[in-house]
Amino acid sequence: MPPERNRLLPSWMLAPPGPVESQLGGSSPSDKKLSSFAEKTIYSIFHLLRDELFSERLSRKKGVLQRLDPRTKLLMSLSLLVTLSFLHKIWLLGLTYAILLILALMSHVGFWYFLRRVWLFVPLVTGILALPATLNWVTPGNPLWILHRFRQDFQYGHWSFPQTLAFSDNGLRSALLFISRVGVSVSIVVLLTLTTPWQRLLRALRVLGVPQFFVFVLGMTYRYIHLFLSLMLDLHFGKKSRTLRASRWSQDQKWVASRMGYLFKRSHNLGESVYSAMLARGFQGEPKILEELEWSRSDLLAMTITVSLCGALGLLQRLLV
Amino acid sequence: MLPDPNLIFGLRQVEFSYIEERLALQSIDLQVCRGESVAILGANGCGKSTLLSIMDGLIFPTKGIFEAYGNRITESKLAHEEFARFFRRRVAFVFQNPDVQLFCPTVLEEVSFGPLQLDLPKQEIERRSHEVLALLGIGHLADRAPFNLSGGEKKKVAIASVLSMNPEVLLLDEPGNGLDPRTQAWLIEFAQQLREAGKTIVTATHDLSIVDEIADRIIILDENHRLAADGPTPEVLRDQELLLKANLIHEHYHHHNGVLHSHRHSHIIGHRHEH
Repeated sequence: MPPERNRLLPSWMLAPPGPVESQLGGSSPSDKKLSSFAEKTIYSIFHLLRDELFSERLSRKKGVLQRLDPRTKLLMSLSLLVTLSFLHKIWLLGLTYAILLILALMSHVGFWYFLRRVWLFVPLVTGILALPATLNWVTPGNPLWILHRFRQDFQYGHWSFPQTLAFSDNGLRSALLFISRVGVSVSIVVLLTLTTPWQRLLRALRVLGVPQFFVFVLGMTYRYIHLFLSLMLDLHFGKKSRTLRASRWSQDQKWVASRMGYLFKRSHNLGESVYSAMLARGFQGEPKILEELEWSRSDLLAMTITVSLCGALGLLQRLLV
Repeated sequence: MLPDPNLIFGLRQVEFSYIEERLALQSIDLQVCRGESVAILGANGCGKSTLLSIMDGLIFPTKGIFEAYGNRITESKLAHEEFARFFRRRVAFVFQNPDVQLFCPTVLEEVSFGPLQLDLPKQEIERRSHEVLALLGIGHLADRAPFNLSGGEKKKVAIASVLSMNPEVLLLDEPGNGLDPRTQAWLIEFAQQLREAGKTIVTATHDLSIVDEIADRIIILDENHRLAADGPTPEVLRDQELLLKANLIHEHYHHHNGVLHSHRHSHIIGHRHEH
């Protein structure tokens, strides 16, 4: 018999729950799998950012690149990126990549991990961008694989198109060069960010003359991603804990849209408060770290090797035309 | 051997980490039975919310076993609609931050969200929703947007939104946080009513002042994310050494008759200490 004060609770709330079946899930044919696109996306973003961006797992290890001053690493990366933009031989790009792989291994970055970080998405994204350039209509050349043969050549405005639409040898070569160059460039940046704590990288950017505004925006973005990542996951849990059945695609979309609106509103409100809090503690736009940046002999050596490498690559490019 | 029908949650050697090298919980052995009122106490960051999230099947142990209603809870188990339906209608979670829980355009829709998923008749859903709103004294907010409410009102809507599903277990994460004294007093009284109605309530808090009113059993997590104590409320609250070690009370220095002295200080039922 419930005590007197429970007369306040409605009768359905006092009703006992249904019987507990000992084994549920996966047994009945009508049982569906609960999995939504929103959940998968949120988990993927969360795990990627948490593991890669915030754990600083690799940047705290004692490897070759981790020992260098962030300014040195930034200058090395910039020199290599500029040199890469002048290289037109795929094997020279391959040589640069081999050096990067050795550096990654010497900095305790796993071989497959490093490969996966770049080559899983770079060919996909740049491949789509480079796809039109592989066709003989865009890059003339010998057709390697004919896709379609029209009745005759035709003209559209100033452009004239040959009768056959095919992948051309020159087109494929350009696309391969483009994908390789992007892949090696992204690898350089990935190696830099994996082996340098974010705060030191920001400080190095500032010291090397990147305007305060850009560095400030980058710093705030980093803080915000962290904050909103947790909030995003909580929002998802808030829904998941009350979700009893697979939601429809349209319901998922509505929920995602409403949460995006909420996050936008929250970020707008929070932006002002966070900035005020930083100002109140004496922040004047300059990222500062406790540890002072110091050049050492190894920085000088690393910089010399990088400049020599860039020079050698340029020379090989010129000699082997 | 058949599982104990009164056992709701069972955790065996549960370990959890958000980031590989940082443990949020370690070696947790714990059982919660039907009708119990349990308070999980611990300092900030000791893993209370993580433990509640595991109990609600939102995250899963990185090591060890978590069972609910005799079923081992894993990600794939809860991915089955049949089991998820069974589990979610029985176990409800009131988040520390009500904002993350409220996502419908109006308060009434928010409260109806759960019953709608239970496929109850429309009339029943309306009746339940209005009764819950009246019970929590927020009937006048039915047509308001949840994000425009005050902190206390949001918390009440969040509670209403799970109560409308009539769950058997309520997991409350820092329920008193950010509430004014009147709303906090109301919340304590309401938790007592639910407890007397036979609901199982697990409350994570670091607020000792409410514990003996809402829980008959206390679990303490220490700052190493381990279980430091598990026992009846009066017994655990008497153990000042334990509370001090778990960072739930502190040494308090002040003057009495011009003499500086120190003693342990807690807020168990108001501001109480002995001289």
